[in-house]
Amino acid sequence: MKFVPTWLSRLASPQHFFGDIKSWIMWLYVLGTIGLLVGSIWGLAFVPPERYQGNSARILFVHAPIAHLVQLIYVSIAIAGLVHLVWKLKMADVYMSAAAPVGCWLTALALASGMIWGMPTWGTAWVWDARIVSTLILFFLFIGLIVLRRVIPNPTRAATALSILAIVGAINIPIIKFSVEWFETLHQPASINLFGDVAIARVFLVPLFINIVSIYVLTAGIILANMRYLVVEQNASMTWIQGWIRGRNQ
Amino acid sequence: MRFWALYRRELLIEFRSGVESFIPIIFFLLVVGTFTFTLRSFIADDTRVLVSVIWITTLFTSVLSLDKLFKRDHEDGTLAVAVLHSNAITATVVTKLVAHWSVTGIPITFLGPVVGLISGMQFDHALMLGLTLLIGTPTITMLGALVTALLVGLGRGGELLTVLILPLYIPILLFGISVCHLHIESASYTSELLWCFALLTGSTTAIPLALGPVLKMSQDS
Repeated sequence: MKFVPTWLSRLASPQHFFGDIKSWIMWLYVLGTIGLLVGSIWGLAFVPPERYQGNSARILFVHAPIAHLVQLIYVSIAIAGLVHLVWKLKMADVYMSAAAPVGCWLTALALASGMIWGMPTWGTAWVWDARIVSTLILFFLFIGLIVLRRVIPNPTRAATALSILAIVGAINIPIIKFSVEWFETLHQPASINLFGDVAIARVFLVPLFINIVSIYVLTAGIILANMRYLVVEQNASMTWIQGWIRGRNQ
Repeated sequence: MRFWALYRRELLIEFRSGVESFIPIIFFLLVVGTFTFTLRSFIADDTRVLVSVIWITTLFTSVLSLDKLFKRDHEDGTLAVAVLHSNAITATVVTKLVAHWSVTGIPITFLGPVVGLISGMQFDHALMLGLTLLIGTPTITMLGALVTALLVGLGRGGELLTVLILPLYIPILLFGISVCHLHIESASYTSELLWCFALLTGSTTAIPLALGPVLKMSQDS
């Protein structure tokens, strides 16, 4: 019985990861970019304006995929942290360090696009709404991970510290969501409801779906490329890296 | 038996440093005082403002005082010895935390409602504030201690600690404030209060177990 196929378990070793993943990154970049172009052009140019919000609703095609993705990235970092604590896999640590800055930027992007959408629609860029506040806290959690990595000089200790902070943060995320939601409903019973009971019409759904999938694919490519850089950085003294560098320079 | 010996040691060290040991409490009173003074017209209208002020100041006081939680023990090697007794480390750390809570959490639990009463809160509202602080301060100490332990021996603290800890404090802060606000609005607050208890029991049971390995790691490197 083999639970993990060989091609996958090979990726746990930095050396194999470095060699195997190179061809993937290109494909992920290409597919993600094409998908984003198709989805965005479709969403921005060919979908009819939304009935109530007009053209400003089109930012949905940018904002919603990112806002979904950032939470997934944080949870995946926490899972990597657990994997690192339990099995001491080197690549789990590399994943945490590589994904945290990407997640941080995407969270900033989600907040920014939400604010741009909020100005024409709500008449204000910022509302202390439950979802906005929890995304903002998520942004600070990402910053915490990045900063913690920087300040601990010893790499093993940094990896363990990062895992623990990520796990504690991940346990906190649903509680933060609960607490913020309850705190909000306390003072703002009639909070703004994006779509209410009305489901999104199918014309909006198809480009939205394309964009969600492509941003996942593109982000996976960016994180993997980031991981490859980190592998080079951490294994710079290894012979296989030295050989690779010599091969490149010739 | 050993608990009391360790506990006594912690308190002795704490109080032998003289006025320095009261700095967190003085900080708390100073900040709350400044807020109450500048916001006095709002507080006169609505004492819920005061609840938020006292709770947020409690968080800042906690971050300020956590900075030195493991610092002295790390510098004089006590922590290294404690880590060597690997089966006793959890008990030792819990004792330290209880002592830390006794010198910061308990005074704040008393002073918060007193400040509230002075500034015009009703007695039962102030009592509820005291109860939430009694539940909240141990939770805050636990969460803070975990993050502080990650940074032992790095010579970093202050702002860095604030950035790392405050996002984790959000749930207990919001639930604690909610209970008080709902009580002042005479609405039902049972579920929020239960959430506070859940956070207290969760953090006091899980975090001491994680603290041992984390502190061990700080001594290895």
